[in-house]
Amino acid sequence: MNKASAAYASVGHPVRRTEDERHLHGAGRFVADIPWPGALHLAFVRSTVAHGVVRAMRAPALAAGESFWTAADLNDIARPIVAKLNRPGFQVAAYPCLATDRVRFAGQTIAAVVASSRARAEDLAEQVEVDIDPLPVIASARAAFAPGAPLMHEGWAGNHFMKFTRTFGDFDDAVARAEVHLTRRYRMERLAPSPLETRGCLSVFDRAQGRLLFHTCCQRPHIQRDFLAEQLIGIDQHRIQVVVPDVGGAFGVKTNLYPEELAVAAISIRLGTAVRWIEDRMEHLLSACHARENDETVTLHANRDGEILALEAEYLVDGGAYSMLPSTSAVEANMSANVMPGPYRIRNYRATAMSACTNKAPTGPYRGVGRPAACFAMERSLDELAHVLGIEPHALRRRNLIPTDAFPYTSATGLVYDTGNYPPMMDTAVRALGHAHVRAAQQAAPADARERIGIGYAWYVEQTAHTAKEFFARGSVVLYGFESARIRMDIAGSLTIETSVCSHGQGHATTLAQIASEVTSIPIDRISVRAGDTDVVPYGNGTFASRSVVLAGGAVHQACGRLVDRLRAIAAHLMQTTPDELSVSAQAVHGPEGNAPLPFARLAQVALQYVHELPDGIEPGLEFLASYRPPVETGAFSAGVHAARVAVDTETGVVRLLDYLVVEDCGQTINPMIVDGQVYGGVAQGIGQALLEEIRYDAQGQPGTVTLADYLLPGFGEVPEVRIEHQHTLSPFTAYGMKGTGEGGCIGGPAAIGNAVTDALRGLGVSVTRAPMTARDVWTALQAARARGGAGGRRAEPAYTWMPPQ
Amino acid sequence: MMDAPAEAAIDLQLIVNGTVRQVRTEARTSLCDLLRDALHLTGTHAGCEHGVCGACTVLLDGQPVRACITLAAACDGRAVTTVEGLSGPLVDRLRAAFQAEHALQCGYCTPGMLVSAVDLLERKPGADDDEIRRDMSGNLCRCTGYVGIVRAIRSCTRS
Amino acid sequence: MKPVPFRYQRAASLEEAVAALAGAGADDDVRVIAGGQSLGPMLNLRLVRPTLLVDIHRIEGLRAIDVLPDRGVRIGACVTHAMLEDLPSGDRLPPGLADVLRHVAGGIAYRAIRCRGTIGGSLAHADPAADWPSALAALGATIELAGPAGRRSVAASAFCLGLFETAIEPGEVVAAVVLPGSVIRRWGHRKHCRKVGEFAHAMAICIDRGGEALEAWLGATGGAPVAIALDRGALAGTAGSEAQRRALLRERIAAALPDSIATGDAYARHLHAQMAAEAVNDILANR
Repeated sequence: MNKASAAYASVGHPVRRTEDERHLHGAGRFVADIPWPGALHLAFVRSTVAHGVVRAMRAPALAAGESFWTAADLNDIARPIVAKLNRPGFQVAAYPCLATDRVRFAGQTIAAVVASSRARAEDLAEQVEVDIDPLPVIASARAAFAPGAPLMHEGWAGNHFMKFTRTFGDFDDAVARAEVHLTRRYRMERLAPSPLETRGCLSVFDRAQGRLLFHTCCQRPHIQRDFLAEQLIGIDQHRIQVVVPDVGGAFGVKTNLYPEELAVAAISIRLGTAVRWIEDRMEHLLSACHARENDETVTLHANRDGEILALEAEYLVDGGAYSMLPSTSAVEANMSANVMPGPYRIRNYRATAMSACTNKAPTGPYRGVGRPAACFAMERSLDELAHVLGIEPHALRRRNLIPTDAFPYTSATGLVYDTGNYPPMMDTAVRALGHAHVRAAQQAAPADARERIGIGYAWYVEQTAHTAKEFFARGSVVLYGFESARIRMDIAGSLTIETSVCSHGQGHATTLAQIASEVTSIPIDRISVRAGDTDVVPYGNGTFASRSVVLAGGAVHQACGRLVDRLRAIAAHLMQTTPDELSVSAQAVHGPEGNAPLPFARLAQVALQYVHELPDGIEPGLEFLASYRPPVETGAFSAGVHAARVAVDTETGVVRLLDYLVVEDCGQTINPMIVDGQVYGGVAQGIGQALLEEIRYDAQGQPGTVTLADYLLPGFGEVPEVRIEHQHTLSPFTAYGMKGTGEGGCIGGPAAIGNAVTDALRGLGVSVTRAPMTARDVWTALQAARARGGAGGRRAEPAYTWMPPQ
Repeated sequence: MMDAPAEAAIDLQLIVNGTVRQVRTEARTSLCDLLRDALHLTGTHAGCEHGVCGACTVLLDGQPVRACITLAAACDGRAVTTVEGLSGPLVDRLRAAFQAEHALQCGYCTPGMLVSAVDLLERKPGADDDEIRRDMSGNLCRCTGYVGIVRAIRSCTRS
Repeated sequence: MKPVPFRYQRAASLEEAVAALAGAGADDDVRVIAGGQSLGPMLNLRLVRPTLLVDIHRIEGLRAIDVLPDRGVRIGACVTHAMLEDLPSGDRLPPGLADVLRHVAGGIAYRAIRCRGTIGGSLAHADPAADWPSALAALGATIELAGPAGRRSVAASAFCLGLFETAIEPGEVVAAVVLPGSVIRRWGHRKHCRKVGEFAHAMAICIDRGGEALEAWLGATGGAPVAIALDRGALAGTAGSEAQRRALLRERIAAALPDSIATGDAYARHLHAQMAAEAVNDILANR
């Protein structure tokens, strides 16, 4: 429970979600569920080779009402997607909605067919014969940079989207002063975000009106509309409406504008009809944005007492063949470089970030972006340093955490942390995990025990709700400066909120209603929240980067404040008093003694109908639009420490999670039940990254993970009952002191589990360097360590888990 | 479906959520697509279409099955219960528990979860946490981390 | 992810199914479908492209579990994994047999798959990762096949020939599995999956009927199940710790693993030996 919640009537309480009822009765409406009689179905023809030139294509035998589309058919209606980043040397790769001549990854869209059913469209798609002359394949970031590697895009200077080196502080001097230098290499594999609902859209072109109605499952309706208007030739933005129904999970993958979506919109315009494309799971694993694949080399320069003087890191990301709009293939390396120092007071830092272009599916944002990999490399390195120095890992961390009195704190890379109170969180984690008890149990375990127990910690800070200036500083072309809410009181005194953020499971309809209820005293069941329709909701940027509660919540807070001001002004007039004599509670305005309270419904009647009773100078109507731009644009910083206790079966390499603890601080929570849900869900994704998930390609760029039987998502059996401990350090500049919390849960998993597995296997000389740490990796590393004759001394070089050849 | 080869068309009669439904469809149509496209019961969701994720789980003659890898043709004359048709005191309790324990976020996996949970609780009314986790392991959720779902089901067991 | 178009025929009897197979055209690619839990995904992925499906799932006679005079059991081909998982306890089956069937069936994939997937379908499909081929071989089962020339039986140990390859001749349908009624004293069954319900990457089963020889049957080998014979007498001296006994068993089994299994993959070979060692150890350990 929140310490502060007692102060509030609605904020801080675990209110049950208003969204649940429809889903529990199968009445949710996702994009595939929208009834549209006569809608045609589209299927894509996709490249089966990773790199080549399309020489010829033969159309299928079409029946009446069916159609076949290639790039040539869409050139004059859809522009290729071009994602840019304002960074020196950033290289742009145009991504056409259907391949023009070259294909650059297996799964790229080459052509499309439209028919009366999806099954029939698939029949036609497989009839399309495509001749492709293969080109040499680049299947890894290192291969992309190898001397003599063929250029992936014409006119490029090397196969990188982005590369830079930046140095912060007195780096060289600090390195020279350090007593210990420890270098390690880590790798986080490529992932598929894989929401349970795949991508999909239903595009309806109304010829009579000349309007495009585009239903899609995305995170940002207005931004999607901006992009569609930019990409489509001959249709002005005011004639495009984007409607987002229920979204079955997104996690970043639905922030992009995809070639498929553009093709569907363009074809529906050309046909003057409704066209639906619902991605299947194989398409999703082949071509929806992948993420991570971050190969990191880290050097810690420290003193023997554990003080870290300098940090040096190289991030080498396999960005895939094209850049996703708008985040680009640089997003992972950029973010990792930016956040690496995390919760530690490290002033001297050198970062080299490179994003390579290869013959794989494009990568883009997935929950956590860059931070899980940075956390993995940083926190694993800290455990290695602690081991070398003979210090407990938590003590080493405590030695370097930013002290509480140092906030607001500006990090080496220029991030401005608003508030934080980190040391007590470390103490909580150590106590709640039973650190001392585990150490005693490890000591007492027999030397030949089959199962080894280990514990590990991992810290992260989570920048949330940052806005235009911060995105500008990162080189983003699109700047996400604010969120908005329009509120409307009706004559019965109930409330409608229209907001620019767009839930894909976060429970905005409940959380935003709680804030409105807090400000107005109107109960939640008298408040509706609408979102996801560009013709209805005010302009804003949508839901991503852990921003919705702070920014849309801030907008609701402001708009409701204006509503209450007007209600008070009207009441003051009716009661012949001044507004400051009045109080608001129980859906009424209460005046000085002797006055009967005026219910909101009565005041709404005056504002909306009996306007002759309104005082001079007060406008009729009860609609208020607030576009909330926070006073500080660098964001509110949440933080967390994850702690894992694992058992490793030395005979099979299987890692079992015995306990998983999260100590988190996201300031004032609005709905602690929903916050916990975000943490639990994030942790499950972190566990997936740590133990199971991995998109694989072979040396020819052929994908090896195209079904959920190959790409393993964690299930009931793999995710334990996670424990959460809360701390509430309020932000000084947000409403109620809240901070965002959407991504933190998934950041710490690979690092905490990697540290725990390493801790379990220290005595056997094994050290985790890769996520996922599969049973195969662990067993293979154990064999290698055994072959070398065991653990050796404290400084002996450990046997690493699997690492690809340099 | 009109352009499907005539030989592949097939007439079926199913009892769906207690109502007899007559449909003509292609032989290749899955139960999932039949429910969604022909009968407009869109509560049954397709998540993977190869039998792994469990979002499409429905009851066929009272037993849970994957609607995506069950041919509609094989269900001729049989009773299908979808999330829209789940009812009774146990289901009411389960729905309330799902809400109370925050057992859903985006709601996409929820219909399949409910169907599997109802089946579990009917077969094993006293299931412990291990049994719940093992028996529910055929249903994937990408949002909740399963914590709320396990708690919701646990709260409906006879302990 | 939709199948190719095909015709569909539901057989009301085994004879009708056999006749349907015999009556298919020369250009037809006919597939028998029972529960469709292996075929279904392959159809949706268009990895199989039949022109005609013959559905045997509703044939009444194929869904029976009959106890035989020798206290063995005859399991119809279309008995589902769930029916075996739910086998009632009682004294109709020999001790141990019902336990093994319940355990193996209950460990297959997920409940919703088990409610439709059948024992006969699993055998006929012969996915090396399936549970029944090795389990039924270890249990000494015979497989009854029905075809145009009548019925014949094949030992389960000789039924699976390789990856998706069986002793079923064109025109034949799996009718039943017959298990002998001899007493099972102890048994061990182990498998390795990366997550609960996932396809196994190694599995082993060992049945102890009291004789000197023990046979561990290995599944998920990438091909047909493999038997490894062990002499109980030679294992008698392994009275050390659990870990030592497992290590010795693993060593013996690893030495006997055919080179063809997981060639060049040390971890996979280790897992096969490990699962077999654990299954045998379940028999040798005091329980």
